[in-house]
Order: sequence, then C-alpha cells, then structure tokens
Amino acid sequence: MVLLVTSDNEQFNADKDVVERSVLIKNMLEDVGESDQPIPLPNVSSSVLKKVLEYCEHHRGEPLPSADADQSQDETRKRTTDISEWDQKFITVDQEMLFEIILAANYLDIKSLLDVGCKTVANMIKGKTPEEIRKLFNIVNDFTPEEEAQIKKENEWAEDR
Amino acid sequence: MATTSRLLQLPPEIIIDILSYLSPHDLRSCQLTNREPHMLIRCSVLLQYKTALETAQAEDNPCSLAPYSEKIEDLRSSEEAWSMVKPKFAVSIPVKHHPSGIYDLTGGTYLLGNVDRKTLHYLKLPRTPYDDTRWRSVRVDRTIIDMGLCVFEHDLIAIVTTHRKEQIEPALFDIELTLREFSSDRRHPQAKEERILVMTSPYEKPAIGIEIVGDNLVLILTFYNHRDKPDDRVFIYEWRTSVLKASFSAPWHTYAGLIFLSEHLVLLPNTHENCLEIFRIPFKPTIESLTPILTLSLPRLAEGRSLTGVSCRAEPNPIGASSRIDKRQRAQERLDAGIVDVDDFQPTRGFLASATDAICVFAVRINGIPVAALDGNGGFNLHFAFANAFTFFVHRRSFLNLVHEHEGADAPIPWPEWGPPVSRWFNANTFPTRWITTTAGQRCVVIAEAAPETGFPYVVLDFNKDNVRRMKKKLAEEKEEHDRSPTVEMNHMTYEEELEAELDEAAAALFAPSPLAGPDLQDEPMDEDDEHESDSSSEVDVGRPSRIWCVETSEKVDAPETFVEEVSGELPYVAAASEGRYAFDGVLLDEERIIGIRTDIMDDIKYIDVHYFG
Repeated sequence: MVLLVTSDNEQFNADKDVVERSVLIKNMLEDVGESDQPIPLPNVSSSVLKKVLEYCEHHRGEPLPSADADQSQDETRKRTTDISEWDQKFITVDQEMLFEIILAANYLDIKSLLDVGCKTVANMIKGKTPEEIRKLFNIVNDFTPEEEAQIKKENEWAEDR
Repeated sequence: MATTSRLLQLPPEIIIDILSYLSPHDLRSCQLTNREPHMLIRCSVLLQYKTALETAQAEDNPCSLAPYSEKIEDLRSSEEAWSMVKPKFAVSIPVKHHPSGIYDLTGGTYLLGNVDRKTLHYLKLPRTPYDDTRWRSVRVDRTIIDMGLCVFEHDLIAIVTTHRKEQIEPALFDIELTLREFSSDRRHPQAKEERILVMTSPYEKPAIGIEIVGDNLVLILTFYNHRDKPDDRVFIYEWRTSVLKASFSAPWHTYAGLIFLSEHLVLLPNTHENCLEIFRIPFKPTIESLTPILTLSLPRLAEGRSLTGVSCRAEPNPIGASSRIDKRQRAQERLDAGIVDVDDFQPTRGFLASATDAICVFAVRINGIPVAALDGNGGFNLHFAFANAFTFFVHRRSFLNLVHEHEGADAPIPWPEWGPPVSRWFNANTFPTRWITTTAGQRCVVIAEAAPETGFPYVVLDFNKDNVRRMKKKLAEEKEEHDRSPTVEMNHMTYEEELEAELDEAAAALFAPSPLAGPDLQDEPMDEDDEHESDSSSEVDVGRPSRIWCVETSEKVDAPETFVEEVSGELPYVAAASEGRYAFDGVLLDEERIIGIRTDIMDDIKYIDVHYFG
C-alpha cells in the first residue's frame, strides 16, 4: 500500500499497482525504494485525487504505453475522439472537475487519462460556432472587428462543411 | 465572477493536444474565438501541417523525416501547381525497347514490358530535372504474362509466368508467381518461397488481375479468349508464407480486376451480374468459397446489352498497419546512422496521397449481342454492333462507408440507392482508355483522343471537395474583380498573353462542360438547352478565358440505348486544362506527375513526357 497526501492534507491509501499507473508516482517509488513515507501531491486536491484513483483502479493491470510505442506513433494522423463506455461515464463531470482531472493527469503523468480528458474537451468543441465555443468555455472575444474579418477571410475555404 | 476561461488557463501544450483532435473546420472556429487560441494554432507547426494534410486528403510520408515546416511548404507548392496545372519542369524520356502490353505506374515507378515476354523495363520517375532516368530491367527465364507491383509497401514485384510442362500431351502449362525484391532484383527477403505454383492449366495465357496489400496477394485468372470458356479463378495468398488463404471460381468472364478497399477488404467488379462485389479476406486459410459481404448493383442494362468489361483501379493502395510503423522506424535508423541517399524506390516527398480517401476509377464497356468469328488460332473474336464506354469515379471511403452501413445485406443494393450521391460518370467514347493508370489520390487526367499535330490540352480532374469549394470561391472573386474594373483589359496582358488566352479559351470550349467531350464537339453546335442543363460551371461564370471550371451539380451521363434507368452522379469536381497543347496518345497520372505517352505508327510507345508538379 502507498500513502498519498493531497494539497488539502487528506491522506489516501492505495495499492501499489493502482497508483503506479501514474508514471510520476512510479518513478518516485523506484527512486526512494520501499518506504512508509507518505507521498505529497501538492498540486492535487482530495476531490480530484478520489476521481483519479477511481480511474486507476478500473484500469489496473492494463499495459502501460511504452515510450517506444509513443515515439513510433504518427502524430500527424487524424485522431479519433472515441472514448470507451466506462471512461465516457467516468468523465461525465462538470467543467471545473474536467479541467482539474486533465491538469492532474498531466501532472501525475497518466497518459491514457489525459487523452480521455482532451478528447472530451475536443468533443465539446466539435461542430460549434465560435460564439458557441466562447459561451461554453467562458472565452472573451478580444478581437477588433477588423481582425475578426481578416481571420475569417484567411480561412474562408474551411467554412461550412 | 470569474472572467478568465479555465480552458485557456491550461498549459499551451495541453491546449494543442486538445486542438489536435479537431478538423480544419473546427480549428477555424477555435481561431475565431480569441487571440490566444488564434496565435496558438497559427504558431503550431504540427496543427498547421495536420490541417494542410487533411485539406489535401494527404498523409505524412513515414519514410521522410524532414521537418514539418519543410513538408508544409512542399505540400502547399504541390497543391498550387496541380490546381493551376502548371508543371514545375518537363522531361522527355525515350523508350528504346519494343514494349508489350504490360505496364504499371505506382510508387514513383513506371514499368513497361518487352515483346520478348522475358523482360520488364522500368524507371524511377524524376523529382528534379536532373534525376537519372535510365531504364533498368528485370529478367526471368519463363514467359511473363503479367506482374503486380507493390513498390511502396513491400518493395515487391510479383511476376506471373506461364511455362509449358515438358513431354506432356496434350500441352499443360504451369502458371506461376515469382516474388522478388524490386529494388535489388533478388529474392524477396520476407518471402518464404521465391516461386509459387498457382495452377496447372491447359490454357497458356490467362488474363491477370493482381494486387498486393499487407499480407495478402489477390490474383485473378481469366481465360477470356478460349473457346471452352473455362471458369475464372480467384486466389488469395499470404505472400510471405505462400499459404493459399482462399480460392474460388466463377463462370467464365465474371471477373477481371480488383481494388483493395482496405487491408482486408477487396472489391471485384462482376461483369456477369453487373455489379460490384466486396469480399472480406479471411485471417486464416479456408477451404470454403468466399461470398461477398456486400453487393452493389450497377445501373440496369437495356434489353440486349451486356457488360463486356470493367477495368478498375485506385492508387495509391492502402498499406498494412504494421508497415507504416516499420517504415518510420527504418527511416529513423537511417537518419541516426547518417545514411542520406538511398536508391531504394521509397518515396522521398514529405507526404503521400491518402489511400483511404483516394478515388477509384472504373472503365466500363457495354456492348450489344456479340457476333462470334473464329480467329484461326483456335480462339474467336467478338464483334459488336453496339458499343459504349463509360468511366466513373467513386471515393474509396464511400465504399468503406457503404460496407459499414450495409454489410451482410442479403440482397444487392440497387444502383439508385447507393450510386448517384457518391459517383461521377463520363461517356468515354472519345478518349483513350487503353491505360487505366490515370488516377492518384484525388486526381485524374484525361485527354481527348486522336489529337491533331498541334495537340490538345490535357485536363486534370480533382475530386477533393475542399479544392472544389476553394476554387469556386477563387473564381467568384476573380469575376468580381473583373467586373469591378472593366476598363482594365485582361489584367494588363501583353498581346502574346492575350493570344495565349484565346487559345486557352478554345481549349476550354473544347472540353467544357464535360472534360471528356471529344474533339468532334467543335463543329457540332451544342443545343442551348443541353448547355444549360449540364454546364453547372455557369454558376461561377468568370467570363472567358477560363481553363478552370467547377461542377457541383448532378449530371446525367450521355448513354443512349444503354441503361433502363437514369445514370447520373453528383460527386463534385474541379477541372483544369493545361496551358499547353500536346499531341499525346494517352496521359497517365501519379501523385507527383503527369505522363504523356507518344506512340509511333505501329502503336508502340516511343516517348514518355514527364510533367512534374510535386
């Protein structure tokens, strides 16, 4: 069992093979060796860590992507935003939590969870107008009308598909 | 109240990661929301490259490790050259041997057989005006009937030969496959056997259809000019292990060629049933005859008409999933080892046309009741009182979508239910269909038949929807500009340029509205109603001269007394005629070039002219 301490000072006990889905924690454990010392996670709150551990628990035992496979992957290919049914349900949270999970997955280095988060945001953007995207993510339009017209013109061909 | 967006507070690399899932259209919407995403997208070379690839229906070339910035430049310059049909250079290459009817054009290689039937000549097509365009050759000690080239994926050539068995009467022939590594002309290192005996047959020379993708080699043998009308045979091999995965036969003259839709799906036109059949290649060998997972009917034929042949092709071929990863790794190993220049026929351009999005071309011949006549060699010739030829185009992806939608349907899907929205038809009676290698990716090239000495322009058809849309906008803008400044004649053209423009006008008039309309249209004034019905480019009539036009509406193909149902297609395209005129007897096209073929009086190919676009 590994002891984790969140930013709001809550303690979590979890199986080693669950927390090791986080490459950050895995490396930490390898560095310090067997120890009863709690691992501090100053960037993760307890509510978020609870979600993250739920994810790691569910995916326990699945092979981790190797650094090698990562390198040979073609980043220029069209990427699918398909998400498995369980992950889909798991990630159905409010926006605040969604972004917290993404940040935590990034910090803890859990690639598959980061992907699920990013795909979810991408799916939220898909098919929306600029105005709808602004509204959804609370983005302020800071273009002058001239700038906006200019950008529209540059990308005109990509309009209405 | 929070005024800053949580999304924009994410680290830029995560925002880019999110954006990398989006289509060019969605990216455009993101760019228009706020300065920050706008700058992120503009400054991300990866996102820019992905967008450029997707709009060109292209994909990254795993063999090329050039930086994305360089690849974007090349891709844009290539798309520009193609859209205006402005070649970057042209070279003429003489053909010194006596070519046979065997030919291929794939992966930057042009191959021509030799009438001696023992030799195949080929050359690596140039990427610069200074490239070595020497002919090389491969020889075998048997009589060559045909061959299949798989240059890009496996560096493989599969040669189909016929060989008379000794001391056996009546004569029997071994039909064999010889597998070689194309670049080295040695035994292929991955092929367990160099030679596979396909069948022993009393007939010397079947006609061949052959394609190789991933693990599979599909071979069709048809004995079309034999009096006994033997069955057609289809063989599916795992070429590395030479295991025969499946084989089946069909009545004489059913099949001729095939298209791989994906690594495991093949499409075979069936001339008997007047349809396209799609089969799934089994993973494990089976002794059962394969049945189609989907059958798509072609337009129903009028009384007394029959389909006498369908040639088909879709270049480039898809490649097996593992091949792509292998190629990237090999390229990386080479780069690490400092090996720069390798003469191995692998493409060096930074990007490739997407196989999944590529167009499939079908050349269809329809005849009336045949009259048979013996030809003196124990075979017979067929004469037809009625003959009509058509060419139609469908994207590979449309077939894949149809499979997805209808797989397992117990009856053939009638033509009107699947065909019109995804196809475009042309009457092909007036242009050469001798060579099928006229398409690659989204493009196809055509030229009218029997050019006078002064030649005809060739016309490039582009079936990329984005390009159609973009060109339509561009033409509309030019028209606007033109209308606004009517005093400026022809945009400051010199007299020579005006003259040239007039020539272009003649060229455009010759080909519009159908780029495949023949030269005889010239002295045959078109019915005004006809013109309006089919010339949908009138929507964006920019005033002549224009050698570029867009067609987005449904067009009925000119097919008198051929079908019982209306045959029309709605697939949009943009057509662009070359500025120059060429006395070519045929034109071919690959991803980077157009090849004009010049023959002599004996119909032998004497020169190939390469026009390079990039």
